[in-house]
Amino acid sequence: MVNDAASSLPDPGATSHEVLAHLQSGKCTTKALISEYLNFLETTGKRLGAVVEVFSQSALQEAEASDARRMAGETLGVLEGIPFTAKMNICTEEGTTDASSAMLAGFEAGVDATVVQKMRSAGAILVGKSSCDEFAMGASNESSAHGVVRNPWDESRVPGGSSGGAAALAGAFGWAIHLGSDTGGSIRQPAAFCSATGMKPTWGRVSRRGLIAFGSSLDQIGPLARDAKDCQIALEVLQGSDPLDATSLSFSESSKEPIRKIGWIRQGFGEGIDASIREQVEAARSILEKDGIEFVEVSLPTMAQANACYQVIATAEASSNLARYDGIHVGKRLSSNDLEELYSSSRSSGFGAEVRRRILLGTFVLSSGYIDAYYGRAQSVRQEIREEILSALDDVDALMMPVSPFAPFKIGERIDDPLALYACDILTVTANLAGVPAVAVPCAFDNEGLPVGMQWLGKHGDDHRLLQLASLWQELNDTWKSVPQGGQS
Amino acid sequence: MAAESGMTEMGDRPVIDAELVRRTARLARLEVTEDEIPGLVDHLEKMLDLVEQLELTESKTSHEQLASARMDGEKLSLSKWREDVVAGESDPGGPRRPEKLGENAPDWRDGSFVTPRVVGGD
Repeated sequence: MVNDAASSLPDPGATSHEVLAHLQSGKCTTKALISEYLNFLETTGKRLGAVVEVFSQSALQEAEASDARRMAGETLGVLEGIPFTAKMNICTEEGTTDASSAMLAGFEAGVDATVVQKMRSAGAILVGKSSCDEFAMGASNESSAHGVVRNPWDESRVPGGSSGGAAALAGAFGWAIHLGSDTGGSIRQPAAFCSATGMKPTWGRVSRRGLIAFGSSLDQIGPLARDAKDCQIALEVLQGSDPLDATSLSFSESSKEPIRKIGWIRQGFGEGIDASIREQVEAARSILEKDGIEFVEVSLPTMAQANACYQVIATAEASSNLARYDGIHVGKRLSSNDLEELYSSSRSSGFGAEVRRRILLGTFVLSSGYIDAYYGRAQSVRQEIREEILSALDDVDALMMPVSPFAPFKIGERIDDPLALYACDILTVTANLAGVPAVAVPCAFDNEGLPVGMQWLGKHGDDHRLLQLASLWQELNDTWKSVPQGGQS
Repeated sequence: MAAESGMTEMGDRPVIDAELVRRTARLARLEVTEDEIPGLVDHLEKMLDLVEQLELTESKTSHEQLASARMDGEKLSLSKWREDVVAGESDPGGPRRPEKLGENAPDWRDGSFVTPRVVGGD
C-alpha cells in the first residue's frame, strides 16, 4: 500500500491517461491525487474564477472508495480515479446548476446528467462545477453571474467562452477531464485561447439529457482536456444512444483508415484572420506535410454567411428554450399581482444583458411577418452550408482552419460591442450548423506568448478519426505540453 | 412593411424603432426601460445588417427541401420511442428526488405551483 505522505504525484501537466498509469503503478493513491487536485481548484481555480463549486467532501470519499476497490482487486473503470468537472449548465446531483445565470441562482437539479452518470460509472470523480457565460451565450466568459474568468496564460485576458472555466482549468493544469458544451464554438474557442484540447462531437453522438438547452439543433456536450488521447478516452465513455435523449444516436466511423488527406479551407485564412494566426497554422500544415499528410485547397463560399445564419438560428432557438424561465416553475420570481407582469419582471430581472439581447433578436426573427425572411432563410442557408461541407468531405478526410481569427483579448476589450464578440465565432459555427465533429488543438504560441489553436472538421461519425489525427499532431509538436507559469496550485 | 416576400429576397427592411423593440419585448415577456431602448434599436439594426448577408445561391434551396435533407450516416429514426409509462424512482431518468421539483420553485404550496390570481379576484 502506498503511504499518502510518501506518494509521488504526477507532474502538473500530466494527461489523464498518464495519471491512470501513475495510479495503476501504485505511485500515489487516488486520495492523494484528488486531494492535490482539490487544492488546485481552491487556489488557482478560484483565483482564475474558473471554478464555481468544489465538491471536496464527496470527492475525497469517492477517492477513498476507489482506493479500496483498487486494493481489493476489483474491476476498475477506464477513468478510475480521474478528477472531472462539469460546466455550470450540466446538471449534477450535488451542488447547483445555474448556467451562470441569476435566473437560476440556487437551482439544484438533484439528478446527474447522463454524461455525468457515465463519467461516474467509468470511475471518474466529480470534483466541481466550472463557470461559463450566462446560459452558454458568449465567447469571453465575461457574462457569467459568477464573475469574469481569467486566462491562465495572461490573467488580464479572457479565456474564451462559453466553456471558459473548463478551458482555463484544462490549460492551467493536467490530470482532469472537463465537460463543456459547444453551440457555436464554446468548447473549441476557449480551448484554443487556453492551450487545451477540446472536442465537439458529431451532433447526437453524446446525450444531452441534463444539459440546460440553448440552441437545441446546435448544442453538443464534449470533453476538454490536456491532449487528444484524453478526449478520446472521455468520448468513448460519453458517446452512445441514450433512451432519455431522443436526439442521441450511436455512430460508427466512415473508415478505419487514419486521416491522410486534409482540405485546407481557403476562407479560414482570408480577411479578418490575424496574420500571426495564419502563419502559425500554416507552419503546422508544413509539419504535417513532412509527415506525409496530403493537403488540397478547398473553397467553402457559404462560410461567409455562416455567422449570420448562426445568429438567426441560435437566437431563435434560445428564445424558445428560455421561454420556460417564467418565474413560476423554477428560477427567480419578482412579486406581482398580475401574471403577465410577474413573467416579464422576473425574466427581465433574472436574465443578463447579453441573454436579453439574444432573446429579443430570436423573438424578432420568429415573429409573424419576419419568420420567412429571417428564420426561414437562415434554415435554407444552413442547408446549403451543410451540403457544401459534406461535398467537400467527399474528397478529403478532414478540413482544417484556425479556431479563432485572433488571439485571446483583454478583459473588457470587446464587452461593450456585442458584434465584436460575435466575430469570435466566425470559424467555429460552421461545424455546429453542419452537425459535423470538430476538434481543436494547441498549435503554437504567438509572439506575445499567447496560445494559438487550430481545428479539424470531419465527416459525421468520424470523431475518433479526428482525434487520431490530433494525437498524431501532438506527437509531432509538443505545444500542448506547456503549462503556464503560476498555473500550478 | 412586413417582409412576407418569400424565400429569394430579403424583402423590405423593417423599420427598427422603439415601437418594434417594445412589441418584440412584449412577445418575449421582457421588460425594457426607456433608457434601454436606443441601445436595443441600435443593436437590432446592426444585427439585421449582419443577417442581410444571407443570400441563397442559384439552387435556391427551399424550406420544404429541408424535410428531405441529406442525413449521411445519421439515420435519424424516430422509431426508438421509449415505453409510454411513468418512470419509477429506480428507472433511468426516474424522479429520484421528486421533492426537488417543489424545492426549486419560487412559490410551492401543498404540491402546487403558486401564481397570482388569473380569474376572478376581489
